[in-house]
Amino acid sequence: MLRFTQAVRCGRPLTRNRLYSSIPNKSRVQLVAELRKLSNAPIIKARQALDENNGDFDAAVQWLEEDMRKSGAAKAEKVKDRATSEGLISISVLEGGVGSRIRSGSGRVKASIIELNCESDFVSRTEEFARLANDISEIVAHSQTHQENTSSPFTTLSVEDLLHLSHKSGTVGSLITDLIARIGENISLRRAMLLTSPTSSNTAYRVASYLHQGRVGALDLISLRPSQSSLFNDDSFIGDLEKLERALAKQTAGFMTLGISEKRNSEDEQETVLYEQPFMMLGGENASIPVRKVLDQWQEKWGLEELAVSNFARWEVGRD
Amino acid sequence: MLRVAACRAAPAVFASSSSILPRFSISRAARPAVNFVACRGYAEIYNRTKPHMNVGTIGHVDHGKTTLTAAITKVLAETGGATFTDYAQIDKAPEEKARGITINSSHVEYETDSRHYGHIDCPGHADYIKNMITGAAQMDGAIIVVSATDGQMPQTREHLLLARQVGIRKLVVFINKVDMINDPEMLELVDMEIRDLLSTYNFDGENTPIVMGSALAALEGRDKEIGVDKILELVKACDTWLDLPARDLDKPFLMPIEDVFSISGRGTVATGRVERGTALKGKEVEILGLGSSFKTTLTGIEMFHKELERAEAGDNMGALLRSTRRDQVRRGQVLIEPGSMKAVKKFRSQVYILTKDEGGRYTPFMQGYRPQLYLRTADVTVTLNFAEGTPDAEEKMAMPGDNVELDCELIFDLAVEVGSRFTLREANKTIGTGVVTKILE
Repeated sequence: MLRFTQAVRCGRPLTRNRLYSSIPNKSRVQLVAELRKLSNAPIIKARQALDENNGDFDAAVQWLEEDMRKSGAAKAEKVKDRATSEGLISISVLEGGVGSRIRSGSGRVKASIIELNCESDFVSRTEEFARLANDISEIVAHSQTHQENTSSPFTTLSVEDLLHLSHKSGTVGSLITDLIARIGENISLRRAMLLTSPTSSNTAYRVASYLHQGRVGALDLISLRPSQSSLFNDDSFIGDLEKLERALAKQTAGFMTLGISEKRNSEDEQETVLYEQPFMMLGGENASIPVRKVLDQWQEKWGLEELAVSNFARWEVGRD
Repeated sequence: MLRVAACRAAPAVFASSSSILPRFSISRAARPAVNFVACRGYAEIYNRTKPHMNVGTIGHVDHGKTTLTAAITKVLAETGGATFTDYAQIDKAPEEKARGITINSSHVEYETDSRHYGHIDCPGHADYIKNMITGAAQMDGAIIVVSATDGQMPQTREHLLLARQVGIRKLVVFINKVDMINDPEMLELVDMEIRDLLSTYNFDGENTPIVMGSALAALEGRDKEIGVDKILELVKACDTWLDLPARDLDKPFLMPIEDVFSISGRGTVATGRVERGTALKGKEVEILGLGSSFKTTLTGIEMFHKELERAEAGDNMGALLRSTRRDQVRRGQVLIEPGSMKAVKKFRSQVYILTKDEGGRYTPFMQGYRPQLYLRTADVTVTLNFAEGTPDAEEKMAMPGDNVELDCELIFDLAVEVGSRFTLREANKTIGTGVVTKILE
């Protein structure tokens, strides 16, 4: 056994030069091992791939890819009724709004928030799962959804539609099925929302976001009315604003925020109202001052006519 | 004759200690396995002659953890070492509370010729961490379950990381469902991959026992050579490879000081419950913590109004200390075997922050938060910071429901060591509970 292990260990560098891997004198086990490293495919599948292709490595790779698609779908079908209560929230900010240093600087806001679920927190902690959640939120942020003139800048997207959204070689749905095939747990896209700024001539919109361990996520739409628009070219102002925005998003996420300036339901506790919370996340002397009061002071300091959180989304994995 | 009983203050103390359950039940409470017996609603006689340890099964949902657990109880039931617990009974993973924290885990117990095992199975990473932090079911070893058909999967890495995180140094691997692959070459590959992965995560990849079998076959009583035989082999591997945790009795003496009395004509008496080890009359002891530390001699031991030569883990005792003034000893200090512990001001810990539903905070906290830390009989103000090296520590927050790694800095030194458990409280609320993972200063 030990000798066998050694042999394969010596053989390992070859995996980097896959071109040579079809050399027939390589053992079947070594090839299966390489297939596994490459694709994460289950042992039983990797072996089948090789056997069906008479030991031809490259053909086996192709066979596996093909099979993962088919068997992934079958696997997904098999596990689809299993409860998924763990997972990750992922946020993707494509455009940060007026004066934003994120991306194009078009002045618009475009961001997405999604929740991707799985069965156990072992899986939600894997790199593979985090990458998938991140990919999906990016795809969603890039998606062209016809924004109807709704009153809210947040658009809830249909998960069913998103699954069919195409992406590179496949769809969002196929990305998910692929991972189900490799990880063997049910994975489901639970919800997705897109944030776009309302069009306004005199109000500037920006977005702030915060993710806490992938478990809680907050997206805040900040609205500002400066007395002069040149303020957005002032680096010290933008720097100060970014700090404030980040604290606001963190505040929204960290507290059980349900409303901005008033309670969502009369029985809610006072601390669920963002503006009434002590602004702990800005720290320092502001930590005990209510959020709104700090915003008022800040507004005055920079000579703004208005500074407000006009909308927000706060999502927690497995909760509404 | 040590006349503690004659002292006016002391009787109250000893009255309260005598109301505490007899010693053996105190020790039993500290042993989770025995609680499982109690859970079943009827009394069983627990044979204490065998050393006890807790093992847990960790593995992917479909790889057969529960089937394996059921199979172990079935096979060992035949020799009277277990009560057969079927799949459905184990799979429930009932919600339980430990130190106010909700944990999902299921337990069974069984014994082999040489050991008694408490066997834990939790559905998630967070549950195992909570078990470790609260000490509700501290895992001393683990059985990693991997299906031969799948081999190790991306989450297998997380399983091993978890085992590391909860302090497990040795584990055994069960490769399940071997009847579905039936190809020795492939099984060798599974074996090799697992050994590689074990080594990557600092386990002994070369020597870790890997048992290949079919839990289902064992459960269904077919194919003895991959079924029952392999279960017995696995259990044997646990017996021989996994290290027993040190028993409380074998550890160096430690008694947290609960109260201190001055008895005229005799001297100072410190009372408390012996946490571990044995105290002998006439031996040297050390008093440690809260800014002072000194050695003296244990000139007398009293328990239940009687003078004794010896006290051991679980006993409530009064310790008469030679030439010690009452104001030299305080609640919160510990009485120990000299040199066996250090007084510490700074340590790293793994902490679970209680949710509002569990009675904790509803708001997060940032670096520099200063609650009270309760450890044994001591309570001391502590400054909490994210573990050194945490990226953006200044920016980070800890929210209710989080498992976080924190550096704790006490305003007074306490006898602390790796594995010490504590709670964090603020304004009559338990906001967190933690376990020490590293001593810093």
